Amino acid sequence: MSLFAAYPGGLERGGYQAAFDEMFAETGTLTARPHYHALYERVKGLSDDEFNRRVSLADATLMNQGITFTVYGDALGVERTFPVDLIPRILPADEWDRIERGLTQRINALNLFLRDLYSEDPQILKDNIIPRDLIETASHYRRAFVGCPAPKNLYVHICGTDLIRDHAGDWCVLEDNLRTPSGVSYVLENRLILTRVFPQLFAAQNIRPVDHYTTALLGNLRALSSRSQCTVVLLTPGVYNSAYFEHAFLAQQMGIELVQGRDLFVESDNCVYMKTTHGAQRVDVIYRRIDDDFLDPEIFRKESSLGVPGLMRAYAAGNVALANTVGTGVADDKVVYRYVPEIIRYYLDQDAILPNVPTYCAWEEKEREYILGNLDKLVVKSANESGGYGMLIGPQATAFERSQFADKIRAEPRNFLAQPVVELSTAPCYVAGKGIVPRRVDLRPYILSGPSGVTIIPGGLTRVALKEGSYVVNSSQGGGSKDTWVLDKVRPPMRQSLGGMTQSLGEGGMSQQMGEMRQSLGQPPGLAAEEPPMDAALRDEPETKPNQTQSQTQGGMHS
Amino acid sequence: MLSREADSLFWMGRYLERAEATARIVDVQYHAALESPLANRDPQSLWNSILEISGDDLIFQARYGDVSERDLIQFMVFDIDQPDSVVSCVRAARANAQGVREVLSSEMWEVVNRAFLELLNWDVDKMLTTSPHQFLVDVRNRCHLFYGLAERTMLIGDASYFLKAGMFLERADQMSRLTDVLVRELTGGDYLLEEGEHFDTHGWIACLKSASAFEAFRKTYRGGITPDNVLSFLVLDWDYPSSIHHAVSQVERCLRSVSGSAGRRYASDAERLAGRLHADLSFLTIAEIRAQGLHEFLEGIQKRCFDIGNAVTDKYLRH
Repeated sequence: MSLFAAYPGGLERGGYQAAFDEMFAETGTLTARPHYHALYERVKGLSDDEFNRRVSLADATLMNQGITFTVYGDALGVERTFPVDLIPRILPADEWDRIERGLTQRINALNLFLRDLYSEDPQILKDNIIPRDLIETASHYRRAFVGCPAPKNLYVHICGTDLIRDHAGDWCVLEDNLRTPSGVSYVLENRLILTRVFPQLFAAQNIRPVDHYTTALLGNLRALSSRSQCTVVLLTPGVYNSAYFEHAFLAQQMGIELVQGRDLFVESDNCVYMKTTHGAQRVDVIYRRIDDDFLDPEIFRKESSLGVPGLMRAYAAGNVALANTVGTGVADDKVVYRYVPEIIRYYLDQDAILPNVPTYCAWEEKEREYILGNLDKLVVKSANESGGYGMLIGPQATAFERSQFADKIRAEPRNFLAQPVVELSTAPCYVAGKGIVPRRVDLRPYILSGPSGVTIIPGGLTRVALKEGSYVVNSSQGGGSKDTWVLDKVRPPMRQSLGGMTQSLGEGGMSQQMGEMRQSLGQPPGLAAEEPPMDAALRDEPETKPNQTQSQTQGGMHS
Repeated sequence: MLSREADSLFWMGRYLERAEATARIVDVQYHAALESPLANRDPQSLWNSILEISGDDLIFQARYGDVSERDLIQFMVFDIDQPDSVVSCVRAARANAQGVREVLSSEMWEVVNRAFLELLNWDVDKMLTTSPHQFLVDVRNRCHLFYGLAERTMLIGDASYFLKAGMFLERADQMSRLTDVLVRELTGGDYLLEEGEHFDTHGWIACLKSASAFEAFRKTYRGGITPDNVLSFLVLDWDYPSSIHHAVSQVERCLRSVSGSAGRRYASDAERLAGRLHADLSFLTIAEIRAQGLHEFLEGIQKRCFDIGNAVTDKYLRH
C-alpha cells in the first residue's frame, strides 16, 4: 500500500479541504504538480518501515549533534529535538523569483522607513501616511534613539518574513520579524540531515544551495564597521535559551566569538570590550540575539543581567554597531504591519509585489465594530506578542473565549488587530502510524540586508503545524519544520550520469551515485564570486588594554 | 580568547581526564580483584583503594557504610550526586562544552554530547550484567576520541592550549594520587619499597595497568618489576606520556604557548610554578624522593598542582 493512501482521508479529517495543497494539483486522484512529480514518484514507492527507519536516523542525528532545546525542570537536563519532517517542500524557480523580488522590495522599504522614523523629523509622519500616534504608542519604538544614525544607514540586517499561501495558492505576507528572528540554523541543518538520511530523494533534482548564508551574513556584519581589523561577536542570552543551538551554530560557522553579557564591558572611552585571556579586546560589531529590553540595564530593564551596562552609550557614540539596530521592532508591530503596502508605495513608488493579509485594526472605530461583530470568523492578534501567543482563532474558540477577548479589545484597542482566517496551504507530512497525511505549512525566508545589497537564501524555513487541523506552526506550540527546495531553472545533466551508473553498477556504482548527488548539490559557478574572502584578516589585534574588571572567582561550570 | 571560554575549556579538559582516569582505575581494580591470587588481599581493600584515589572515601562511608562491589561502582561511575563519578564528570564536561560550542569543532562537540547521552542509557545493574570491562573501555575510548579529534580538528591556539593544560594538570594530579594509594597498598601501609618473598608481582602489574603503563614499562625496563623501577616510571619518566613528569612538562608548555614566553623567562605565576615543578621532576632521583618520604612527596605534588590550577585561574580564567 502506498504511503500516500491515507492522504485524501487526512484532508477531510483535518478540515483541510478548502486549502491549497503544495504537492497535489488534484487531491482526489493524487495527481502531483509538475515540480513535485519526481519526488512523489520516489516517496510513493517506499514502505512504511523504510520511511520510519529514516525518521529514527534523523532523530538520532539531531540528538547527537545537540540540535535540541532543553526541557526545563529536569534534573539531568533532558533535551528534545524539534521535529523535522523528511518530505521536502518544493518551490519552482519562477514562483521563488517573484517571492524574492517581493521580499527585497519589502526590506528595502522597511529600512528606509526606519531610517526616516528615527530621524529628527520623520517625513512619513509629516505627510500623514501613518498616524503619528500609532508610532509613538508602539511598544518597540525607542524614542531615545531618534537622531542617532545607524551605521551605513541600515536598521534591519537580518529579517525573517512569514509568508503563507491562501486557498487559491497566492502568496501573502503574514508578518515581518525585524528584531531577532530565529530558525535559520534549521534551514541549514534540515538540508544537511536530508542529504544524509535520504540521499536518494535528491537524485534528478536541481536544488539551489543554501549554505552560503553564513558567509553572506559575516560579510554584511563586517561591513558595518569602518575599521578594517574589526571584531564581530554574537551576543547570546546563554545555554538555557531555546535558540542557543542556533547561536552557537552561527558563531561557529562564521568563526566569531559567541559572547554572553558578562563577557563584555564598556569602558569610560565608550567602547565595548570583551574579557579575554590576553586582556580586554575591542568589539566593533555585535550580532545580538537578545531583545532590546535586555540589552543594557542602564537604560532598559534594570534587573536584566543578560545585557551589558553602558552598551547603548557605546552605540550612541558610534563605537559599536548592532545587528539588528535598536528599535526595529516598531516596524514589525502588527498594527504598523497594516501600513507596509503604503510604506512601500511611499518610499519606492511601487506597488507591493507580495500583498498583506487583509487586516483590521481595533483602534479605528469602524474596524473595531467589524472585528467585534465577526469574532467567530477572524483571527485576532495582540500587536506585540510573538511565538503564537496572545491570539484568538475565532472559528476554533468557544463563545466564552470570544467574549473574554472582546473585553480585552475594548479595553486596549491599540493593541489588537484582526485578520480573516487564511486557509494555510497543506503539504504532505509523515506521521508515524498514519503514513503520509496533510498538514498546514508556512514559509519563513531569511533576508539579509547589507551595504552591498539584499541576499536571500533560496527557500527558507517551512514550518509545519504538526497537530491535525492546527494553524499554529510555531515551534513553541508543537510545530515542526521541513527542508525547503527551490528548484533551479537549469535542469541537471542527469541523463549522462545515469548512463554512467548503469554501466558499472558493480563496486563503482555506489561511489558514482554519490558523485551524482554531489553534482546536483554543488554551487552554481556564479555564486562563488559573491563570497567575500575569508582570510587571516578575520583575526584582530588587541588594541588599547584598559584594566580588566574582575568579578567572580570561578565561572566555569563545575558539576 | 574569552576568559569564560578559556575557563570552560580548561575544566572540560580536567573533567574528561578525570572521567577517563576513574573509568580506568575502576576497570583495572575490578578485574584485578577477580583474579587476585593472594589470600591476604581481599577485594575490600581494592575497593577502598579506588575510593581513596578519588579522595571521596569519607563521603562514601557516610552514605553507604561498608563497601560492596555494586555500591562502589554505583558511586564511582553512575552517581549523579557525586561530583567525581564518571557520569558527573562527563556531564560537567558537556555542560562546559555547551558554553563553548563555537570554539570546539562540531566533531568534538558531538563526541562529548554522545558520551553523555549514551551514559544515560546505563545503570549499575545493566553494566554488571553485561560486560563491565566493555562498558568502561567504551567510556575511556570516547574520552580518547575527543582528544584525538582535538588534535585533528581544532585550531592550534589558546583554546587548544587551555584544553590541554587542564587535561595534563589533571593527569599529573590523578597520577600522583594513584601512585600514592597503590604503593601504600602494595607495601602494607609503610611505603617501604622492598623486594623479597612477599613481593606482590601481581599487585604491581595491576598498579602499572591502572596507569595504562604496563606495556610501556616492559619496553623501558627490560630488567623487571621492582618498586624503584615502577616508581621511577610513573613519576619521573621522560618518555612515558602519562608520567607525572611528562604531564607537568606539558602543562608548562601549554602555558608558555599561551603567553609566548620562552627560555628562562616566565610570564606569570602559573608559569613559574609549573616550570619549577617541571624542573624538580627533571632532576630528582628516586633515592632523593625516598629520602623525603614517598607519601609526603606525592602529597606535595598534589598541593603544587592545586596551586598551579589557582594561578592559571587568577591569570587567565576570571570573568
